[in-house]
Amino acid sequence: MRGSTSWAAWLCRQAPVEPLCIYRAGIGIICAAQALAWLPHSAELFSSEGFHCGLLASWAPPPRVALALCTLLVVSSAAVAIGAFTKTALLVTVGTGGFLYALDRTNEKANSSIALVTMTLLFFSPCAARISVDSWLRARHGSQPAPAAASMLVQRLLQIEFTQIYLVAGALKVLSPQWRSGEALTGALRSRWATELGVWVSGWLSPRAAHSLSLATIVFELGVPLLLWMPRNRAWVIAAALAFHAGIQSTLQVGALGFHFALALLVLFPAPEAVAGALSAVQRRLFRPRVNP
Amino acid sequence: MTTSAEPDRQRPGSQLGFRGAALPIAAAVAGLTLAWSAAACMAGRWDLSVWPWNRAWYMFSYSDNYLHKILAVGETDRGGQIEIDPARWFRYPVAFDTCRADEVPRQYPVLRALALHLARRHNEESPPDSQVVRVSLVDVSWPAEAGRRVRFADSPPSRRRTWKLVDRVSCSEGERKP
Repeated sequence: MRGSTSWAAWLCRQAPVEPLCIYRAGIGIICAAQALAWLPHSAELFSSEGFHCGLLASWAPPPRVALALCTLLVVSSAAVAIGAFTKTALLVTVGTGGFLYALDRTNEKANSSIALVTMTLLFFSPCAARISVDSWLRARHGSQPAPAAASMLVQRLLQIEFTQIYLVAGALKVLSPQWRSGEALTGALRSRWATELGVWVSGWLSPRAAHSLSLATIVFELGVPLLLWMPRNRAWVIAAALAFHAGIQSTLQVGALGFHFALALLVLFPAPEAVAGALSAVQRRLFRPRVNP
Repeated sequence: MTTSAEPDRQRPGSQLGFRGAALPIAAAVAGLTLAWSAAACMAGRWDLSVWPWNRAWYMFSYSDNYLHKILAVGETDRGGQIEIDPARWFRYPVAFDTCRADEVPRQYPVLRALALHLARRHNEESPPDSQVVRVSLVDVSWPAEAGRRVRFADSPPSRRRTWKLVDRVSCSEGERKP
């Protein structure tokens, strides 16, 4: 009984809302940029003119509707980023993004499903309480500001979402002979997914180095989910994870995946009080009144 | 529903608008499907795992060290052969020298639908004497070399491997979404 109470207290402790608000702004920017890149190709990607193999492939709309939906996704994601009509914008983004996602699983990217999950969770959070048009309007109308602290439940669920990805991906790599031998890494660096830098690295990376890097990746992916929960280790684990994702992002074409993880690592995992303090310091620096000489 | 005098804000999930058992049930369902999916994937049964958990665990888990291109070959009613390049309609850049057509799952119903889609798009834009009545789909692959990249157009034909995916499907069968 006591255990469940402390578990609930950990899960739902009151904490500053700033991490969720910064995360909301960041994921809105990432999704808007992604949808913007889709926009010129909306007919191929989402309309009945293109080829699709997804759950809702037969529901693909005409090209003009596909273009309108893609534009709506850009606008709603941008609204999420700036925190304008945030709940509605999140709902529209998840609805529209989910529909477009369900049309086609050709070239499906992990970051699409991650974005859908995280935005769904954000809907249930006070993520528009700070750095948002909604909070600015509230202040302008003289309404009471949103509480500075709220339950950490959604932030905890977001943390669990990201740590489970590391953990299960690492466990599956342990079971993969290609990953244990290093072949998967050398294969990826010379594959169609490699960037120019990745291909260059594949030219001189020795099999022994590839093997070591593969094993290090597995150890890292299995270790990070545990170490991130330990406050004492968190700073250097976050730094190492950022370096890990920078390495992946620069050598492999993974879309916005690295940005999703970097955002989560920088905003969701440090102590919420520290994130709130950092934001407040930035705001003070940016908006301090100028003194005329 | 709460009946005690404990302030509502101290209850897990109360600030989120959840009531009663909704939150624990949602969390339990999510946790169980996550654990189930992880176990299924570890047992080699990805097909038993569920969305969205199973989508983020397999990045770069497999490469056959070849680059792949899908080509369609149409047959006219006079027996002539016409090569149909999917890149004409698949312009969204996916990866190096790769379009979405090259990325479709290698499952027969999907490939057959792709072949018929390409034939339809070709026939819509071609004069009557270039219309195709049958279509085949082939996977052409060439080695992915370390340290350098070779485009399909630059790959020596002697190093290419060809694999027939769909063999002479009649265009009159009609296109169905896979």
